[in-house]
Amino acid sequence: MDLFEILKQFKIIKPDEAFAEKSKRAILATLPSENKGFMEIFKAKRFVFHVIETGAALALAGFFIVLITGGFSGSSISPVRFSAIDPQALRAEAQAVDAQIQLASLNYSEPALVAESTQKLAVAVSQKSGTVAASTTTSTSQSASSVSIDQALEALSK
Amino acid sequence: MVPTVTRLSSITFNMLDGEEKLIKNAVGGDSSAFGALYDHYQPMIYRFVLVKVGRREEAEDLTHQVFLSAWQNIKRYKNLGHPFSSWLYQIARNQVVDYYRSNKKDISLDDGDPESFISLIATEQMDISVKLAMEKVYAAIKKLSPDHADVVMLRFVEDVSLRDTAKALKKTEGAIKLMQHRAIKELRKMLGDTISKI
Repeated sequence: MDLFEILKQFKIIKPDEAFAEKSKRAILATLPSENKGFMEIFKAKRFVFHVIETGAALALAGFFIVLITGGFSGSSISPVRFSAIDPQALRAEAQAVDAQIQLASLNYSEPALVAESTQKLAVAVSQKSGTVAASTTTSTSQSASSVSIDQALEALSK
Repeated sequence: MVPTVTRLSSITFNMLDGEEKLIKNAVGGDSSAFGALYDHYQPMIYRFVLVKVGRREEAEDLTHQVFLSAWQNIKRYKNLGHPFSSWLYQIARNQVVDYYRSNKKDISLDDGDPESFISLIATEQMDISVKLAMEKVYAAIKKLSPDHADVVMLRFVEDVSLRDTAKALKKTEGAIKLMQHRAIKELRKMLGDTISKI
């Protein structure tokens, strides 16, 4: 006898008729679950979830916008506090830097500026007064460097 | 001549007359329509479950649960071109898996006793040699993997088509072909020449 023929013989297996009838009656005595109602509940739940999800997304986006634009920087509820953006500290630091720059300028650039301006004034005075000869121009420039500011101003006023 | 495995692929499962209308009515809540479906499909689901659990009481309980679950969820059934039996087999497989999962401490897969099994199916008209052969084949099927045993039951006992077997077991047709080839090879190896001598 072939294997496939034996397997076909398994079809003679049948449940007890009394059991089959009893089981069928018990099953059909129940009602099938209402799939439609379940779907409606599911849809309602999904709608509520969708609303919550959208609201949360908008709130989060707003929070980040405020955070980026620095809305919390002066507030005590600032989520991130940077000491570098404290206005008072910044102002003090800026003042200190300016003072240092001014002092440095005074130390290094003032003598040169005074000498330069004195030279220009001396040249101007000599040209205006016409008292200095052309042959002595070179010596004038040397001597002009020794002319004081007061002398130059006096000459100009004349 | 030994029939090849692929020879059965052309056989299609014999559906119930007017099944589509019965299913439609059952989905609409018609209990008599579901009763007709129950009468037609209950024996094959019972066989499928009995071969897997090997005990009549458990097989009856599980079969009852399969149809109860089918009736309770009939409104969720969607006809996608596959027979109603595929859906029932899927429920039956899940029930058997749940059964073994919940009773795994008490029951092993080898618990099916061939002698008690054959006593369930034996009839007075049946030849003793056929009884013995069935007993040996049943014992061999119990040693197959659950998937292979399912393929043997659906393809070679119930004559379910390749396409519908694939649907019921959630596999591709190619996978079912391969599985049935391996299952038959394993069965032949386990049975040796004892079957051909009968």
